Amino acid sequence: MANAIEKSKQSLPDKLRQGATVASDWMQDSQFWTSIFRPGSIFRKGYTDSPRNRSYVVMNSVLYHLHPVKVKRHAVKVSYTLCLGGLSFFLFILLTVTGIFLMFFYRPTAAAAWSDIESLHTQVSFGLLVRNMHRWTAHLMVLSVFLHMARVFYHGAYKAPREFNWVVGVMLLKLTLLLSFTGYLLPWDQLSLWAVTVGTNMMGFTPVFGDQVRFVLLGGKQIGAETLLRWYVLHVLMLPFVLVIFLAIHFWRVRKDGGISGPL
Amino acid sequence: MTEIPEHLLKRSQEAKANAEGGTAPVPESGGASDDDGETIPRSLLEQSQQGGVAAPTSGGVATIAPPAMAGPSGNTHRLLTVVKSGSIQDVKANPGDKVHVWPHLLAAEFTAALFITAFSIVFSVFITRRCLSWRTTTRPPIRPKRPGTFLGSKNY
Repeated sequence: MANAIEKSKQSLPDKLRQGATVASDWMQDSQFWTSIFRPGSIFRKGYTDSPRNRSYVVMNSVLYHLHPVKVKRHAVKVSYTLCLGGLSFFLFILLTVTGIFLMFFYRPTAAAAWSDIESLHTQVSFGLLVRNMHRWTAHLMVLSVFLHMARVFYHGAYKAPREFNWVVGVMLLKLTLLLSFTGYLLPWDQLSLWAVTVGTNMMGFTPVFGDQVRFVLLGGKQIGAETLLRWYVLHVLMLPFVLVIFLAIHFWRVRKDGGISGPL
Repeated sequence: MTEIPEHLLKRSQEAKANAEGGTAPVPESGGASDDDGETIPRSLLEQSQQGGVAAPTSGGVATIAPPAMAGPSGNTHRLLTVVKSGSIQDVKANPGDKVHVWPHLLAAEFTAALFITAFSIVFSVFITRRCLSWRTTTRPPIRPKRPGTFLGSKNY
């Protein structure tokens, strides 16, 4: 009875605040909420910043699953080789985002490809900027992957137990170079044509199967509309798909092999 | 169990006696005094004698305590160095060797990602590479030049 009297005396903002708290508690206790936000999440009820909850954050989050709960202290030390592998992965994400944007405005046909790129420069908002970003980021990714490999090589981090991951890394470098090369043809301008002519002529000198390799790459005897479509599919679908598989293996092995290699 | 050096035993007995207000007990006859040379471990004594170095025969400082830390194979010093191996060859990981991914590593990665994004945007704003002309197989991209061009001769 006394509670009811006190309740009736509360002001409207207090009532609203109390109602919001009750609703928030009900939502955070519901199965729906707890099935999305796992233990340790800052959106869970009663979260406290403790080592146990920090561990939960990493163990229960898909995003953080790329990382272990803890890393060696020297791994976070700022040095000239910091984050080269991570930066390569980040550049790949940046390339994916800008690449998706470019796909909205590009048709891989011999008649439309060049004019689509030209109109992207002049008629699409931020078109030139995004294309430039895609281009320079691709160059940067090749550079960072190469530097990452150089760092691993010169630090001797390819040795046991990381031999397998080194081989996976070599595959990733090759895939990066292939992605870069297949993207070269897509603007369908003079530079594309002659760069790909030189590249495919070199591949034509493959021992025994040279002519067959060249035919498969070009989709015919010479560079044409079939080549453009073939390299477009390779560039936007097949090679990224294979690269993501190898990336997953690469990240998984990094953790399995004891994390980042230590100083010598 | 590690054998306690004689001079430490003697010192602790003296300290205990002082604390109790009495006089220090005289070590038993079985115990070795500082002067008798037995305070030096026998192995070290033999080693020094073999090396031609005279072993100290007096003074409590001659007693060498066994090293607290040793390398994985029991060695106490690294070859060709005077650095005690235990100090640089940690065989056991300490809790302080690792840090939490959040926020230490993620903060560094986020900063690096922001930096590279800003760099690529600024670079792309100022440096543009427009397309060349539409592809045609009848015209090469660059006007062909004779080798003499690069040698400075005028015959082109």
